[in-house]
Amino acid sequence: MIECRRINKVFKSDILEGPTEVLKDVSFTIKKGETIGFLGANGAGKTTLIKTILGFIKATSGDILFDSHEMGNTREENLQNVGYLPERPYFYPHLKGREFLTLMGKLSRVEKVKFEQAISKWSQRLGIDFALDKQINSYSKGMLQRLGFVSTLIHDPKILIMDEPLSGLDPVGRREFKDVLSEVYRAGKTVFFSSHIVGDVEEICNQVVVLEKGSVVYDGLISDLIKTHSGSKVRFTVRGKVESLMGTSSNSFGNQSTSFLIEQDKKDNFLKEIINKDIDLINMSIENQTLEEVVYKIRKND
Amino acid sequence: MIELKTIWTISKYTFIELMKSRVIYNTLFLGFGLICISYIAAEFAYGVPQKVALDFGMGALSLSACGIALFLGGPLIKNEVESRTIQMILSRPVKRESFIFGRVLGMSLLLALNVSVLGLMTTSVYFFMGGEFQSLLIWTILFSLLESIILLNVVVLFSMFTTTTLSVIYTIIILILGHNIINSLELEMVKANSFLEGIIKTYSFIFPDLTKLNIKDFLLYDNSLSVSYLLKSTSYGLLYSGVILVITAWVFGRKDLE
Repeated sequence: MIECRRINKVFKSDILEGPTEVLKDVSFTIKKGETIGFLGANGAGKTTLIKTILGFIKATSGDILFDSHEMGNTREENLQNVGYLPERPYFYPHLKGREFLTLMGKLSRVEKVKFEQAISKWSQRLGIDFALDKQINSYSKGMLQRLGFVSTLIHDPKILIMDEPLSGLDPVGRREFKDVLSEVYRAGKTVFFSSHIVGDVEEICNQVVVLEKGSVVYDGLISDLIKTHSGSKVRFTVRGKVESLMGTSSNSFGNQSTSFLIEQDKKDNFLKEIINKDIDLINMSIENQTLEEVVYKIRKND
Repeated sequence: MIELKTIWTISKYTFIELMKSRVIYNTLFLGFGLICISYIAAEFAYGVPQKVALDFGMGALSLSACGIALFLGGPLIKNEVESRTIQMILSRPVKRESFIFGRVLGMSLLLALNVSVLGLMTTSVYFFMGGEFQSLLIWTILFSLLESIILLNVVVLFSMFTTTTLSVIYTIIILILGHNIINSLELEMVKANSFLEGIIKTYSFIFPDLTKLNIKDFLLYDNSLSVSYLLKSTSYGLLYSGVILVITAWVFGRKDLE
């Protein structure tokens, strides 16, 4: 649907400090029907790239290509198929929620009946319907986030692009947002959202793009990333208190049992050692790392 | 192509937003204050109380319109960029040029409402005190509106390059110079220095010459002005605003919205 091809962005904001390279040769493709997490630490360049995709800022070099079959030929047609939610959205404070949504519906060039139905449906689904006739300046941070989410859905876009959509939400709100994201994904929409919280991406997405200091360090399936980088260790749990085996210190122990975390290639020798020493083996299992551990590892290696 | 429907939608909601920000209450408050002051001042005038009332009224009307243009126009686009509201709008099929035209049109509608309310109050006091209708009354009110629209466009253009505070300060300087610099061509010192004269003429060609729209003295003392002068001044005001607006839209279309 959208392809980022060798995007570079250099900001020349400070004469004394010189130019800052924010995006370095960033390339990846957002395919139809995928849920893609866009991971990166604060300042990695996630928001800059999203703004580049949407045309708010111009790339120093590189291209953003929209699939004309899916997204239309002109920029206006492209944007008609995009639902965008910026990080910590802020709206016209003196308008009512409903007025703002009506404005967004009109600007999206959707029939009045259709966007009014969508406002009703999504505002109820996201629990903001009770506040639509109140002025936006009376909204809390979470309510603004919900209103913003409704506005991204009212024109029935093919792709949702969201910048940190779960920030500023309470646990209930986070759950509701995740449920709605899963719902729109099941309805065939493409979801691309940035986050610096790995757990959120792991929970919602099947694909991930990891950005580190302006460069893509991984782009692909989350399961592949974990498989490739985790190097699956094996956890041995033995009965009783054993301080070390084969020169390996125990990973954790209590009075009843001790556990050891061993690399895959050493597991056979370790097992022999347990048998030779006549230690009672309780459990042996493959220990997979979480996405968070893998991403942390990638960043550390970078 | 610029979409008229989109521009109208943006201007309509800009107008609603500004109306709800209660700026119109300030206009009404100022209007009633104006009526009181005009009435009191007129009581102290010998012979021509209606002219004193008119002088006060038109002065306050102009001041109010310029004030609103400056202080609401400065942050009109800047605040949207900083608060990222603009990102929501421009993520829809909206051209940046349409957005600028819509915002400025919405703000201009508010200025028109402000000028109409204060104009109505001023003329009411004037007629109440025995003043007679003259067409220059309408023209003076219209020119005050045009002046404020020029200032609105100038402050919005400045806000593309600098902070809101600085853009307001620069526009106040433009306002002061716009009312005075052309008169300096009459000074002997300037007449004697062709270089200085050239600079002033160049300045008044680039920056707005607001003396063209200041016809209060004619309203109060002369009671007449040629139709061709009035039409030329109106054209000047509209054309100048239009050119500045197009430049602003051009600059905004090429700006990174960080």
